[in-house]
Amino acid sequence: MTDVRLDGAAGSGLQSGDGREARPALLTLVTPGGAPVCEGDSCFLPDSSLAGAEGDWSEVPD
Amino acid sequence: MNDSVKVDVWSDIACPWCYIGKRKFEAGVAAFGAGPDARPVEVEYHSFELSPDTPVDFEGSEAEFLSQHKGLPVEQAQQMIDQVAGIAASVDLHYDYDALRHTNTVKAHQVIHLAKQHGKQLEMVERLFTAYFERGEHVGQDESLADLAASVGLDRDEVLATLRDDTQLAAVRADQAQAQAYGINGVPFFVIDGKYGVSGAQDPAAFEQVLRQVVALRDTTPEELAEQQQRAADDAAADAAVTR
Repeated sequence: MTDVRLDGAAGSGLQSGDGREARPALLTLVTPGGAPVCEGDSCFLPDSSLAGAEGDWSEVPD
Repeated sequence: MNDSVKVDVWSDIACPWCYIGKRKFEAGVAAFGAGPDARPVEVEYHSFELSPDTPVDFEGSEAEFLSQHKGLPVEQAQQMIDQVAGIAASVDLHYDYDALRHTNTVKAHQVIHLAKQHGKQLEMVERLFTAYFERGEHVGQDESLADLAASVGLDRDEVLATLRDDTQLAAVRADQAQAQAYGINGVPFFVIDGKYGVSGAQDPAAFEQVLRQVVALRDTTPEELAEQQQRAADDAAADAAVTR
């Protein structure tokens, strides 16, 4: 079972390297390690979901 | 409060994780619906343009587009494509990047809004995703979009008029403004009960647990919620201290 925990309003389920996340109007329910997401014209996959290198992100096609 | 759980989903048709996340979310909703806290789940999709400057037509393969757009060798772009296609296959989606027609999605978003007015939004979203990722159908041209919309029961002429006059463009922009107000930077992004955010194509178990958690939180007082948040912050600080 994935561990889901309640984080504060400034929290984020996505740590994409630059720390850029802010959702002031929302409480963010997060899972450790993040999940695949697309931002701008780039899509990212946490390497942890492939090879166990938590915290690293690989770019994949959008 | 309404007994059902409302989930607002921001996504883009040209977003590989959005379709994969849709499948995972649906599996999570199904598991939630089979559990002890089951509630009806109402889903509404919202527009998010990942790459608004994308042209309507691109002559070439997806690997070639990626290579040109990102300055990568074609071989490396192909490896990336193969990687995401493999993950899609794990949720029974069959991405066909050889057939994919890379395009601008703003008109597809307008069609999704029109479909919402006719009570067919979910069917339209699914049809557009499969058209783009699995069937190599064009989701950026008026005629093709009209055909796709007609296949889920929309009036073809109404679709063409909508796209000609951009009558749903304001609705698309309103969704984008709401995403900005929420601070949403990437998709898929799920907003539950208008208060709780979940980022990314999470696993079904995560979606199930979040839905159960949101239902439980409905019975939580603001003071209890503040205590939970403080505990979460304390735990995070303790974790950070351990790894420092």
